[in-house]
Amino acid sequence: MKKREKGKDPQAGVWKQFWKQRYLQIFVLVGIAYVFIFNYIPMVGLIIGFKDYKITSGLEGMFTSTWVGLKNFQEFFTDYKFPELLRNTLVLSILKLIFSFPIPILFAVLLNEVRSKKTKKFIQTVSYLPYFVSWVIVAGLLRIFASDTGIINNILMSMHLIQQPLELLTSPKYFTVIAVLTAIWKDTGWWAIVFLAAITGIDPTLYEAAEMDGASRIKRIRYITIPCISGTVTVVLIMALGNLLGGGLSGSNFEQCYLLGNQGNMAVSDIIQTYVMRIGLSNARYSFATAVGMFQSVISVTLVFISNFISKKVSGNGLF
Amino acid sequence: MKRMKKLTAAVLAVAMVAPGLMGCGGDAKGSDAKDQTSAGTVVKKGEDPDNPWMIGDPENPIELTVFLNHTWYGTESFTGAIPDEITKRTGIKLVPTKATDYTQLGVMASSGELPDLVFTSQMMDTLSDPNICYSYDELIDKYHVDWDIDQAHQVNAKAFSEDDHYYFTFSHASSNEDWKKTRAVPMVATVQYRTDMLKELGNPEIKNLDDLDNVFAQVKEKWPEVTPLVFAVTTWTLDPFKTWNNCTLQDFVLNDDGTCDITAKTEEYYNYLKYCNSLYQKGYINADNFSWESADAQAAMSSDKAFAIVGNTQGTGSEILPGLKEKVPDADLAELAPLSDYPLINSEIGWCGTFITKNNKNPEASIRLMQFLFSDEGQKLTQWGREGIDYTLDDRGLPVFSEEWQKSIEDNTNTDLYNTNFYFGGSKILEAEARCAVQPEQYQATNDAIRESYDNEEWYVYATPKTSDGEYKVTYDKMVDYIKTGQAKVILSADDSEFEKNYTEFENQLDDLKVDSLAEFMAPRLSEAKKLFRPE
Repeated sequence: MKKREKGKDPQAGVWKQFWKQRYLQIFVLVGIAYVFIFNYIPMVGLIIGFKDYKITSGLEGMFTSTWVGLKNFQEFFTDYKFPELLRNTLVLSILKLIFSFPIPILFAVLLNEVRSKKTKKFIQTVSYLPYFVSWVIVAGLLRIFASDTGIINNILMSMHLIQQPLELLTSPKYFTVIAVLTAIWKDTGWWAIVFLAAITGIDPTLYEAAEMDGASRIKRIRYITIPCISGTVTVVLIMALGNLLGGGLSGSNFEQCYLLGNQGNMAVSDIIQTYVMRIGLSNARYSFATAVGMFQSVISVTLVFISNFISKKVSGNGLF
Repeated sequence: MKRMKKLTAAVLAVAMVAPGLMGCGGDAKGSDAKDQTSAGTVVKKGEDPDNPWMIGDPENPIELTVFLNHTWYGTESFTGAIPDEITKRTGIKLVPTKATDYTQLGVMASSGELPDLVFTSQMMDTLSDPNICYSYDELIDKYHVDWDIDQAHQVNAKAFSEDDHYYFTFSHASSNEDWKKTRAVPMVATVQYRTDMLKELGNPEIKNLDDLDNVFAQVKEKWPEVTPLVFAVTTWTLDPFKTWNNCTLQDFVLNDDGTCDITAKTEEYYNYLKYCNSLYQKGYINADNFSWESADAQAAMSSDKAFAIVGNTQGTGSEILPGLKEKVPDADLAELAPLSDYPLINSEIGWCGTFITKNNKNPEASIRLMQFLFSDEGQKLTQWGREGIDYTLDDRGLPVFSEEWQKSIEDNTNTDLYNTNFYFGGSKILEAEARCAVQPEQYQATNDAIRESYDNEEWYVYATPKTSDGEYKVTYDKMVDYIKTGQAKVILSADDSEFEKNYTEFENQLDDLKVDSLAEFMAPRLSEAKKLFRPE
């Protein structure tokens, strides 16, 4: 029998490496503990989606209350508002994905082409500042600017483009447009940083070689920049799809619909999350709210798997 | 040395995160321990002959935390002459937290993070539970509190619990008889208008809805930039027009034959929606109002951009007039008298309850405080201020407020200086008398007409579906939610054909909600409740 060589056991190597990094690993463990405590342990609560849970029964009631099977799911699927809520949620989410996803990529590519460093930094700073403005503030500003007597209507009327003020805040016609536009305004600069970072990582010799071969700027973008950042684009797209029903990249569906939604535009601004808040949480119907939340989560997870599968098939890139 | 540094870094990292993690598990017990110093001991009523209501020690008051489940609540801290006086007389200080939205209380209740007291008009059935709150009757017995709560009030509160205890007693409960004894007016929705503008139009009479339409038309013609009527969806919406279209304000109509109709499906409700739509089509109201809070509507009035506002019968215009008079010194407001003979039917058995939660660190002090706030002395102090300083009584026993008090109403500084936002044991009658005492004289005739037309049909609110009613409660909640949101679409129809289309959709949605089965469920329940309040 051969004597096992010291240091050849791969498992022993892992532990040795781990021991070497023990102080750094403590920080990793803190992160893992955070995710475990705040993301995994609460999942136990999903059980109440299948139960007749009442808040008066406390934490213990999560396990002791009566099983009701799929009753809460059934109630949601047969709810008189379900078709409208699903339609509103999907329309808003898909439109936001279609319009707000490519714009940061385009913006990052354009920004990369700006020669002056100062101008580039200035544009970058200005463009990502809105990301830090809370939706509450954005909604407040919109209520001032887009009201009947707000600056937008005043300008349009003074230019004789309209005779009567547009009902920007209350008409269902304008809500989705405003939601998509504000999401683009708020998030473009921020997500552009991610893509800009990916562009920065591209080997400059590729550009030099292309330039020597006489490739134009457009061709360099098309054949070098875009293919080189496709991996990052794929990852971000999968993440956005995972949160499609929450609002994609910005995840702002609830905030927008809650803050900008009103009785006037309710026909398009009432989405699954706002309905759950009104009918579920406000009336302390936590089982119902959990069931609906779970329905959204299942769709999201399914979308992540499908998009990852398609992405791997088409481009070879994927999250896992 | 290097090793030591690394160890220190590791310990620090754990120390930074650990309190955060531990904080997540915070519960009532944790906060109890934290607040133990302010829990205080109770001095029995009567032990201090100079201060018959003394409960704690004014120098070192018992601090009780209270959650105010009203996002609009007029104050965020109990400071001012009245709260100070309450502490002086009882030795208790209240530390409030105002709700940020109506879901907060549910989350607090489910996570066991309730404060000492909860003041709410919602989730009363949820809180009327022995696992969450103390019942008043048990505390009264246990601490030998000499408080005889009226039987009718006990019954009303017991309607929210599944055992035979009552966990609160309604504030602001009043009967038809109470209103007959006072010159004040019950709070119902009404319309306030600019008297100065009406004068410029030649003071045309407004005795019915047609007259009002004519005035709105004249306003729009003479001042195109002025909106004839503004309102807020978070308060009274367009409620006066329900009554003036002979439609009840309640969700149900109990017919003489014992059957029940859903109000939103009645012809009167259709007429109300049709009338409101006509206001919109003619440009007398703007769609924007469906996104407005009270402050938005008041701002439109005070900036001279609107002629009339939907408000309530106890309004004094104090939120509007100071700003408006800066622009138009002669501006003034008055209130429309009822525009139809249809009675102003309210349904109320009270408004809010103060729940003493199981997290309460001093239940004895809490129940004794509630006794004080519901006493005649407590009610007068919280709503009228200090007798002899802030008010004196006239021959009829009504308050005559001091000049400082009256000025604070005009300047809109009453809350800062006095703070009458101590509603826990509030009396609707005293509140109305205080408000009406500072209303200008031109309101009196309208007040008389409203009082004449007022009726309280308690059984509607008493019989409202509760959580224990299961699916009917769910249907009811969804119906209320849909009516609130769905009617806006009907009112904002661009023309008559769109109105008919939207109204049909509104009716169909109600049918999809199976409101007819809810009406069937409510019919016997309402009849029984009616017998309870009107035995004849």
